[in-house]
Amino acid sequence: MKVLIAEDDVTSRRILETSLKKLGHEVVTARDGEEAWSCFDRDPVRIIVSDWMMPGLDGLQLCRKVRARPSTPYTYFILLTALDANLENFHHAMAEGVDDFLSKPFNQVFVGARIKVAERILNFTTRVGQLESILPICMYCKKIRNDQDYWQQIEAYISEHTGTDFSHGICPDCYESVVVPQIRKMEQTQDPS
Amino acid sequence: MPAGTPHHPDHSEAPILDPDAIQQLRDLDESGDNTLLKELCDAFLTDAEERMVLIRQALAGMDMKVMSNTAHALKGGASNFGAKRFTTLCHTIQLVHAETTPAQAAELLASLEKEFRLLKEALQQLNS
Repeated sequence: MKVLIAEDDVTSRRILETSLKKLGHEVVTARDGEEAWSCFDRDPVRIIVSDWMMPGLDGLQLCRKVRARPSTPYTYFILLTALDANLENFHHAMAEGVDDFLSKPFNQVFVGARIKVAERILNFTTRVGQLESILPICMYCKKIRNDQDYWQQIEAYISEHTGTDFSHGICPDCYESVVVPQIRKMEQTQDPS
Repeated sequence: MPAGTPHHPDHSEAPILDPDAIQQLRDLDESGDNTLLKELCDAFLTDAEERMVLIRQALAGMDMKVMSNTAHALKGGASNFGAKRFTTLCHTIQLVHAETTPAQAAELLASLEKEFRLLKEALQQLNS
């Protein structure tokens, strides 16, 4: 996955870049918040790892701009913090739209784990987006045409995409229009007089 | 301790560089010839020399904001090498405030200069 790094410290930027490349990601680097915003606005990525304190546009201001950009797929925003960061600031950052935090100095295992979580959440976001967008549905039998161009029962489609299980019941309208006539028919069959 | 001096925890017994942190940087290098470690040390030292000039200037003008921001930046870079003594001192300088007197600020800077010299030597030795 393509990851944008916004970090003004040259050493931290290089370490993070190497770590992410080693994990198989494509990396774009920016030396400060302004440069990161230009990169993102030109070619949005799905994951940003940004330092908090940077000259000019800081990490939170960058996050605000990313969130406010119209018609942009959800971007997972990871903020870099020092281990001694003030806890109150974390609440503030979350409220601004930050998704996760990574503390400095970097630990290769944690970097990989955070990016994996980001990928997992973005994957769910994409699936929810697909469900919210227009689905091709048969106007007669109500089957859904899935991503493989196969007509699938709507229950199976939703279950596959969201993990939802269905409990089968009968709504009052169908009870009246389907079940009651069936019961009457059975009664007539059993009692022909 | 005078009222204007930020609390400065004593880490003088800590090693200048953390061997585990240095090993992590060596492990990151796929070339196996320490090219990355050398590159990181050079990049840090070039950047840190410039920031040390900035911090000296900030002290001369008693510009607490620049002093604090520069100390924060130095701390971020040095933390990658596990330079606990240096980063602890940077953190203390980061907390300088309006009540810090010029004498107290100068004392902190003198400590920082000393720790920076030691850190520089240790990083240069790593690649010699």
